[in-house]
Amino acid sequence: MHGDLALQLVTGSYRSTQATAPQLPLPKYALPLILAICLETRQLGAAIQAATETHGSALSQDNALVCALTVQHLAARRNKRCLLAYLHSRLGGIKERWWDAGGALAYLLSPAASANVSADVDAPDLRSALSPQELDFMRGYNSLVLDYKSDFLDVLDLAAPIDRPPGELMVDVRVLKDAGEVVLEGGERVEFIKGDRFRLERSQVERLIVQGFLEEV
Amino acid sequence: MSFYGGDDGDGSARWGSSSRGGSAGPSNITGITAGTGSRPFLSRLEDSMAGSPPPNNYDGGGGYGGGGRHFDEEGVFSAEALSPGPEEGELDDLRRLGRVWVRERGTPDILAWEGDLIDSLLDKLEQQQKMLATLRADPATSEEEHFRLVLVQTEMERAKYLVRSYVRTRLHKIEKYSQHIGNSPELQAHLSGAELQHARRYADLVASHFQHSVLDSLPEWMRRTDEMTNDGVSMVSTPNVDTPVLVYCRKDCGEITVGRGELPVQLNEGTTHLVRYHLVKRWIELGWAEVL
Repeated sequence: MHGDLALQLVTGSYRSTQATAPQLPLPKYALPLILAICLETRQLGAAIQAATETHGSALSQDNALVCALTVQHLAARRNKRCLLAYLHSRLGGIKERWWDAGGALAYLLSPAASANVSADVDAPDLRSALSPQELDFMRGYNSLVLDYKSDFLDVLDLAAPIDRPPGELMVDVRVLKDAGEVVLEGGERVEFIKGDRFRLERSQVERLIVQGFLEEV
Repeated sequence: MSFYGGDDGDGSARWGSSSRGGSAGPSNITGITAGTGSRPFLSRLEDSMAGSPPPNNYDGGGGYGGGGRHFDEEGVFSAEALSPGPEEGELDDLRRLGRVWVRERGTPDILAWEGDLIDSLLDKLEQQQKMLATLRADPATSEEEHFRLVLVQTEMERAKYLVRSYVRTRLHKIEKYSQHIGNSPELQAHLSGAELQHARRYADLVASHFQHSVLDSLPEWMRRTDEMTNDGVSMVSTPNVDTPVLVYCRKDCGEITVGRGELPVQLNEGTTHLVRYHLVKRWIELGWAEVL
């Protein structure tokens, strides 16, 4: 039946919140399904084309043919809509993940970022869950927002988390992974070695917390 | 006190190496001159801390009148805090941003970009950052003053949060409606130059992503991204002006007709209503109605 595959694509994406919930791994890009839907749509398109060419002006007299063409036409457009809806919902998820990581693209795409959530064998990390086009999009988006936020950068970092308003100025952190020597804003140098605990200004170490080097105590 | 001790490069260059170290350092010659030099800054900081208005307000205490204090004591929605309409202009920047931020988050549309407000806030934040660095590096700053500096700094972080959240709320809407912005001069007028640029480039980015991912493999007559679907839904998403918003009327806003054939509703001063956005849009833009 026309449109079955497209239905499968969107219901799958609708039922699962994985694509939009940043803490879960992004499901793998459904390439085989998408290719199959594109193929079906092309066949529908070809069928419509052929029918209009062979029947030409006599088209409107043949009710059965008009019905068939309408159904094919609707199915083709529906396929397109489903495909775009699928892509769009994934774009939303990709963007959300980007903001959640504080705009750290390299970190996001490294296997380390998804090390703690890789229960899914299909998509061990974000990079392999994305299609090449989505990877391009992510890179493009990255440079786009970097451009935009550069205007603000001497005062504040737009990509810092905004889940909740800042409460305390200082934060107690424990080092989870060696981060080497880090120069903080005030010119201080701090050597982050696994297991150490520090009391530092939240704004200065926020990025390291997001990237999993430090943990709030 | 170790976390105060971080001399910033600027500070140590100015006050010499003797200032490195303790917070309430010995009052040697350099210490005293440094102290007198920066004293006006500090006293101004103290002044601004006194009534607990935000520290960003350097330029005189005239900005925040009685209204600000009512605000703190009686809660955000009290009549004293909100009712006098023209107060908007007298509010200090931070409070104005607070309102602008709530309004931006509460409405489905993209409202006008408050460029002047943001610019002046960013300027003040930057100035204050420098001042803080100077004062923290100054050995004449006493322990108590250090404590106040921490408060000032916390307040700055909050101001930054507001700016960040405001800008990102806008970015979110802009990206959502990027395609629509391209052909709506009315919305374009509401965006800053950088935002407009962002909207255009984002729309291009999404369009090229869709093209490369699927549209290129569809029949040619199906490759457009701005047509109507069969049930009359456009592919270009536009702000839904039917979204209900919660508004508080600062002035009498006349009456509105909610639905066809229904009685008109009075929007009296000091009342709160939940109405569709497009019905109160112009009052919100005028500032007569406040989004909650």
